[in-house]
Amino acid sequence: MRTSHLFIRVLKILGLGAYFTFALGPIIWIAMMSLKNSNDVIASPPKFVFTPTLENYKAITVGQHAQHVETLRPDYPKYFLNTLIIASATVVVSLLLGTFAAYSLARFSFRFKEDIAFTFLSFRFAPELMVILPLYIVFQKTGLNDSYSGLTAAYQLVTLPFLIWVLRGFFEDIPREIEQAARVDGYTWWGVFRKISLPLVKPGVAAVVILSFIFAWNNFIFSMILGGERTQTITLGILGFIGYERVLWGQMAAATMICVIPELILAFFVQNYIVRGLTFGAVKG
Amino acid sequence: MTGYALRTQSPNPPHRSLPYLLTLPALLALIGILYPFVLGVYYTFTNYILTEPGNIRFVGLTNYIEIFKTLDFWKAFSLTFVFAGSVVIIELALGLGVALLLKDAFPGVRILRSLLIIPMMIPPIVSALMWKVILLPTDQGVLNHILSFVRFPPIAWLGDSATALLSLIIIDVWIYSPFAILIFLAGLQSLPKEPYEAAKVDGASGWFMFRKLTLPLLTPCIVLVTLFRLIDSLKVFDIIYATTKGGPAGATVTLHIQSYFEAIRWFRMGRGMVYLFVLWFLCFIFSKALSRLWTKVLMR
Repeated sequence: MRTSHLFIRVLKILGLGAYFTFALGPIIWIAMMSLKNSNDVIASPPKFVFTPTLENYKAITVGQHAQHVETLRPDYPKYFLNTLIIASATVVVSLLLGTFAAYSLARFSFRFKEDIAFTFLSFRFAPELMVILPLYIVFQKTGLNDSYSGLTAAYQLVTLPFLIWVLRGFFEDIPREIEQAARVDGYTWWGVFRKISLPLVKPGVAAVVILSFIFAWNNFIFSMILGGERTQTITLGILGFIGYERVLWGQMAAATMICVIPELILAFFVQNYIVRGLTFGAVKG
Repeated sequence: MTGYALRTQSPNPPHRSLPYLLTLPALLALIGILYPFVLGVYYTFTNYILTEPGNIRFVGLTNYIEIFKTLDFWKAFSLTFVFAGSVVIIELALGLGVALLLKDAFPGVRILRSLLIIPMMIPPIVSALMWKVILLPTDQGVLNHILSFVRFPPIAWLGDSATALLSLIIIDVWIYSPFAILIFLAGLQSLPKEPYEAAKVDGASGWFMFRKLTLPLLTPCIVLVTLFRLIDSLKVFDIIYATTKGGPAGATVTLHIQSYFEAIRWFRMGRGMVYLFVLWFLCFIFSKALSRLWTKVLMR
């Protein structure tokens, strides 16, 4: 009995060890790669022990010409800034458009309510290009392609259905009695919404804002088709390090770290809401 | 867990038009999205060539008939399903397995659970690129190097049509298995205790309890993971674009990738939209069926 118990424990540890090596190995490897000089990075077989250097980070941020590292004027800060602008604007617009819709879907009964809610949800399950390619034609005709406003509008497809569905769930979690008591006390619906409901869902709103921001930040396909030289985002920028003319593994790795570390820090703050967010409010983890 | 359909009775609004007024801004944004969608469906019936925007002719079902006759379409169609089916099955199994290991408290379990969110929060396109480096052919790739310690010959991974799809499956499993794990963990932690105690009293084995209690009780989780992972893997794009771009020799061309080739690379907007409409239709049917199934298993 005791030996079989021990055996199962060892198996469990081995299983977890294997899975987490698989899950974390790649990111650790890329982090190591970002600290390698240009010779170490292309070494075959790959090096596990090397002298760390920050030259890749320098090359993509300030463009310092270190030995053997070819770099043009770095565009990476511009991509970073572009993504920051587009993702922030996207979240603000989604919040303005979506909060009231979410509250109304959560609190009131009206005709076509579930149809409207499901129409929002259905975009979550549609292939992106189905909307983006025709939108590309529309944008070309209206001059919206490669513009911040155009991309912010298009990115609503990424964040708005998400925000409405998850926030709706948070509003529904508020006990109805609290709102009813406030109505009895003479508050208008707007007073109830602003003074009671909104403060109560604050943590939920914060989580939704952060997750929407991450989804917008991570997006690739929208900016690839609808963006351009001027509005190029970070995901396209990182992809650009690996091309036909140049293969800069080290700089790509450094760019990856700069791209993901801020969002991982943000994600850790809202980790308790991530399952709920990713399932559009279906699982209240 | 609550169902999308399990809503309590909502009160009537103070004014009848208020809910519509509140939803209106979002609805208008939605119409802004629906318009290109309808436009896209219209394009499927035209000979729209991107380089000749002045020369759009209505051609009826010609695009559909032509495409359904090509081998390329059916190859992309079956490849899409092979990919989606494989990743859904692997992610369900791996997700449940790791969730069972992380279910009980032990020192460090909270940290491990937090670390799970890392692969999910990295842009998929960047994750794919990271894996492209790890899966480099020859000894230059770190995975081949590690495999050489156990006398494995180097594999070309993404560069060989025999292993390219497998490589993509590995990448997809890396990105999305944490999603399955976290959902199963939430499910496992909300399981009722009584049936297990009753089964123990009756002397049931662990395997018996897993099969007869845990699995049936986790059905909503299984349906939910299948819903999200099936739809997202049917419309997979980013990870293929970042790695193989459909190659080598067309070994990884899915419906979404083929639509991109048709519309953007070969300028055949009409044909590209047909591929997309077929894909959209598949996603629509499966998402409808699975979300209905999900509310049904929750009501049970």
